[in-house]
Amino acid sequence: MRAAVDRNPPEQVSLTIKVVPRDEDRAPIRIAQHVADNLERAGATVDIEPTTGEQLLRDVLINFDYQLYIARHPGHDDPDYLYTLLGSRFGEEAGWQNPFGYSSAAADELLERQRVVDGEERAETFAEFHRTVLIDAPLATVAYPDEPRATRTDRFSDWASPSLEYPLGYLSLEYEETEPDDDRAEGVLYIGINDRRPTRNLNPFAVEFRDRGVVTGLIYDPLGRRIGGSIEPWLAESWEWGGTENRPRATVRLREGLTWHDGEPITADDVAFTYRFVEDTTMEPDEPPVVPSPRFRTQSTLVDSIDVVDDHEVEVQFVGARRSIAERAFAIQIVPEHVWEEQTGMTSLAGFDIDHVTEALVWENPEPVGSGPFRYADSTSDESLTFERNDEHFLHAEGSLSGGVAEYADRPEYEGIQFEFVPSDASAVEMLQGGQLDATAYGIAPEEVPAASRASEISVENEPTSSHYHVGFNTRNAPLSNPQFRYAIARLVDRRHVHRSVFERYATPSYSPIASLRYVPEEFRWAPDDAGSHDLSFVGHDDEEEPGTVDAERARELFRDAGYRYSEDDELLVQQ
Amino acid sequence: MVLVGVILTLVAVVSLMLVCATVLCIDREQLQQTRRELRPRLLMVAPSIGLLATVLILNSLTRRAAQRFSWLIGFNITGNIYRVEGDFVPWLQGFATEELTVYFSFIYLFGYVFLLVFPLLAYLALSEQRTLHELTIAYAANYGLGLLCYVIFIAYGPRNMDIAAQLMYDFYPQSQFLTSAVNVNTNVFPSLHTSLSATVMIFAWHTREQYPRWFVLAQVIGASVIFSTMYLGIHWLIDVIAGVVLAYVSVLIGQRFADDWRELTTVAPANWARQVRHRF
Repeated sequence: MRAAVDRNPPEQVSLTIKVVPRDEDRAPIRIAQHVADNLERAGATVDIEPTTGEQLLRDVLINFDYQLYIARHPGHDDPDYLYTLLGSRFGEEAGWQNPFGYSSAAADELLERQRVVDGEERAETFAEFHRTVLIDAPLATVAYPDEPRATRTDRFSDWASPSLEYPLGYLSLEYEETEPDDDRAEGVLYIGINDRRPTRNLNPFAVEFRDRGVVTGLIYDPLGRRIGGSIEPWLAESWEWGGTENRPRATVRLREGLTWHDGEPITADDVAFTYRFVEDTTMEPDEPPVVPSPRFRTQSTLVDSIDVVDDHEVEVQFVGARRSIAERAFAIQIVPEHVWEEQTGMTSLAGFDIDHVTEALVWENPEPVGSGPFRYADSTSDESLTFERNDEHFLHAEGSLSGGVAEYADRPEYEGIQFEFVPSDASAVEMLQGGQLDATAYGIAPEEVPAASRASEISVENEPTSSHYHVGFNTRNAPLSNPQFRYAIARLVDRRHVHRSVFERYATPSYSPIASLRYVPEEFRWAPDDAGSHDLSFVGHDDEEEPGTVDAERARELFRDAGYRYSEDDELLVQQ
Repeated sequence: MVLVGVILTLVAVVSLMLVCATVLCIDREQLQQTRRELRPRLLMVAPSIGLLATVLILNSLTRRAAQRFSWLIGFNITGNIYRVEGDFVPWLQGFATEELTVYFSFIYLFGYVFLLVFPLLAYLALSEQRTLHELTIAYAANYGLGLLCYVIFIAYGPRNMDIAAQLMYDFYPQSQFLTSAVNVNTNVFPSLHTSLSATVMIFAWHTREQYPRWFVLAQVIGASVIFSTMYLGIHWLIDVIAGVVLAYVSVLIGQRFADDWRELTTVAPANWARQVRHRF
């Protein structure tokens, strides 16, 4: 028999891109169409598979069941978030912990180094990081969208600083009662949400239900919150630094008289519990499996150990990191031990235990007990969620507050928040105009901005964000396991075209997963006219006739350079 | 609440349409006869109406839970549908005008509800009541089988793939409160708008001699509803074809089981009751 019989012919590359449907967010599916069109011009076949946001996060972040996806990262306050997003040793963990399965010793070393240097040296470390990782392309950052927020100013003002992107944005609002109103109760802030998930699940650790976690951030307080540019004591009264420059230690003193929403006192035990819990939700660190919380993961990797000194004091030993980075660990939301110690067991489905998943990660936490400035009052699944002001909160306590927290003394000024699900941005604008909402919790789609701006009742404030849309690649399987293959796809994305046609210019295009330009070296910054000028730019036509269209010959060249072959009909082939 | 406003408008408009259609299609004598025999007729149809109501209530109670279950066990066929039929719906939308959008939005929301409700009244007014029973069973079959398909198949419509414009929601955004309250956006295969309209059209054909005017009206509105699902970017052509098949099956079920169902629910319990009484 001839040896040719046992040889499989190569087949055309076939890829599937997962995205959320238009109803949830229009940008990803439009970016996906752009990428799919150009990939098809380059010789692959592409399917776009819409799936709900919750399911998408489950497929991508938990089950790694995808080839490519286009989604929005929840955002970051410091480039240290890349430590878990791209660190090799997080490739097996759930959450925004290296869902790509990317591994690079060089990148890992740089991610460790950026924690123990600062200033110019840290910027240089990230410059090196860009040179390594952007060419490897585990993800291709596309753009940081602006958030045009539509608000009414008849009852609430001071919407902008900080904005509703942060829990503090809800605290800083100025409230002024006007004449009584049929649709909005006195003292209640009406917020439109385009996401049903918070009405069903308020678990701060459930990664597929949380984006930025702003809603749960109103219920749960951390030791410290970012106020202005720095992390200021919040539940903590103060912290004192010790240890060495690159291995700090902090003694954290809690405020006196803090209570949970159920009246129990908050003690140092709760704090220590939370920090151990996020590192291993089974609370048995010496026994496998170790199941870390998929949220707060970057922060929890900063903490080496935590010890209770007395009822109001803990000692935190950090791993190798500068103080300015270590203090990010204070942003972990503290939860009550007496509630969450019940959730440390392995979860089960129909009587079968599910390994590596604790109750803590799947519990709906329907009536959360936190310590935040708002407490849970009521919810209707898939429709609405009501919070009321927590009058026992330390912000309302007698005596003066010092430090950054002082500007929030006696906040919020109003009595509660009503979150209402709205099915589309167009309806949100209608409801704002009709006086049924005070604001939207999210940025409205660019195509609704003109209508919102025209309405005299509504003001639109545009705000840049730190949360990027990106193409994510599952590097675990061929052909996407090949960095050159991914790199070739990354170069099929025309950010200028996406900026204009998808975002209608309400976005900042970028190649980098870091928002702050301080850490993005010159040669990796995006510029409108950088077509063909550097290693990451779009391989497309630089004309206005077919904007966003890839130059098929140059695209094929990229794949050929990566070692791939083409059929006579210009089909991109791969050996199956 | 916006939703309440939309529903009130719907009720008002559909009621007006029902009155007009009654005047146009049903003669006075028939109505008087119906009034005299209303009680026995309603009692007769109660079992099938009861079945329909049960299906509808179950549907509304389990809709979101069923969708979540569907994500666990169902097949996501959006990509397959798109690969088979391509850009048919966007091509269709190439002919859109503002007037057509107004017309088809009106038909999709109001015309559809009217189309489903009117035959219930019209067939109640027939001296021969069997058609009414068949129709209600056929409705229940549409919903029941439709729901089953929605659990097995997950699919988003062309507007959610953003290959087609969502003409109705752009023109009348409040309507999305209604559609998102009564349905889930992954429930597009098959099109229940199509299957229920086609069901009504088939019955209107069967009763064309009793209701010649309704026959014409039903074909015009039914065809418009079916067309509107694609024109508005809500359904694929494949959903519509599957909807027609579902309608055909449902009509057969209605014709085959209307009598059985009434017997099962009225005669059988009476017999059991008699037997039980005999024993003691």
